[in-house]
Amino acid sequence: MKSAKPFCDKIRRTLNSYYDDDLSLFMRRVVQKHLSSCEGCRREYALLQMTVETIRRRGAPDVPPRLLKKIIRQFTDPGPGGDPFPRELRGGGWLDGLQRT
Amino acid sequence: MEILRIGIPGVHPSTRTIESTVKTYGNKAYQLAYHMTGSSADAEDVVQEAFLRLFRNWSSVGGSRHLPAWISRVVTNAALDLLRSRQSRKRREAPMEAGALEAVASARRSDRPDSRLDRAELQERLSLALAELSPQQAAALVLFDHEGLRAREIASILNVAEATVRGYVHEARLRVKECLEPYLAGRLT
Repeated sequence: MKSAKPFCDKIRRTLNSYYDDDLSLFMRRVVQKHLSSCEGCRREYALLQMTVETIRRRGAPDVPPRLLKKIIRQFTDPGPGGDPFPRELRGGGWLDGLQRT
Repeated sequence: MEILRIGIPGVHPSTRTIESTVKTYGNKAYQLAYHMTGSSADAEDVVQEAFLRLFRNWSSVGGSRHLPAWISRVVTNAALDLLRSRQSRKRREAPMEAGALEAVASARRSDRPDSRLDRAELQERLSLALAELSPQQAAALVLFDHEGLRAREIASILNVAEATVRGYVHEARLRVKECLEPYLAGRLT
C-alpha cells in the first residue's frame, strides 16, 4: 500500500501559510481537502492554531509609572548649570555649536 | 535660548511633546519590549534606550501619524541589540546546551502524564521557548503574531526581505510549537 507520508509532509510544510491565508486558491483547496481526510495533519494544524493563539494571548505587565516619570525627567530636566538642552539629546553637528554659544 | 527650551521644530521635540509622547506610547513600548525580552528589567532598559533613539532622531519621524511605527522600530532595534549582547555573553560564559529545553519538557512530561498544564505554566513554557529563538526570529514572531504587523512592515523594521520575515515567523512558530506540544496535545479534542 502506498504511504501517505510524503504527501502529508508536503501538506504540513504549507500549514503555516494556510493559517496566514497566504496560499493560492488552488493550494488552499488542496490543503482543505487533505485536512478533511487526514487525522494526523488535522492534529498538526490544530497544534499550530493553539500555538499561535497562545502567543497572541500572552500577557505583559503595564509599564511602571515611575519609569515613565524617569524617562520624562531624563529628557526634560535642565542639565548641569541650568542647561535647558538635555545632554542625552545633544546630537553632533550644528546643534552642539548652537548649544555652546 | 527660548528656542532650545521649547525645542527646535522638526529637529528637537519640545518638553510638552516629550511628555505626551512618553505618556501616550510608554505602555505600548514597554509591553512590546517585555514580549521580546521576557523580562521586566530588560524591558525597562529597552524602553529608555528606545525613547533616547526616538528623540535623537526626531527630525526623521515626520509627524505624529508615523509615531506608532517609529515606536515599534526603535523598541525592536533596542531589544535586538540587548538580546544579541545577551546571547553573545551567554555563549562566552556558558555554551548553550543543545536540547536543554527539550530535556525540561521531557521531565515535565513524565511529571505530568496527563499533559495538562495550567495557564501560568503554559506562559512559562512559552517564555522559555521564545528565549531559545534567535533575536531576529523572536522579534519577527512577536511583531507578526502579537503586534499584528504585516510582513512588509516587519521587513522594513528588521531591514531584511519580506520572504526572510516569513521564514523567521515560520521557523519560530515551529520551534515554539515543538516546545508547547507536550502541553497543548492534552487539550486537543
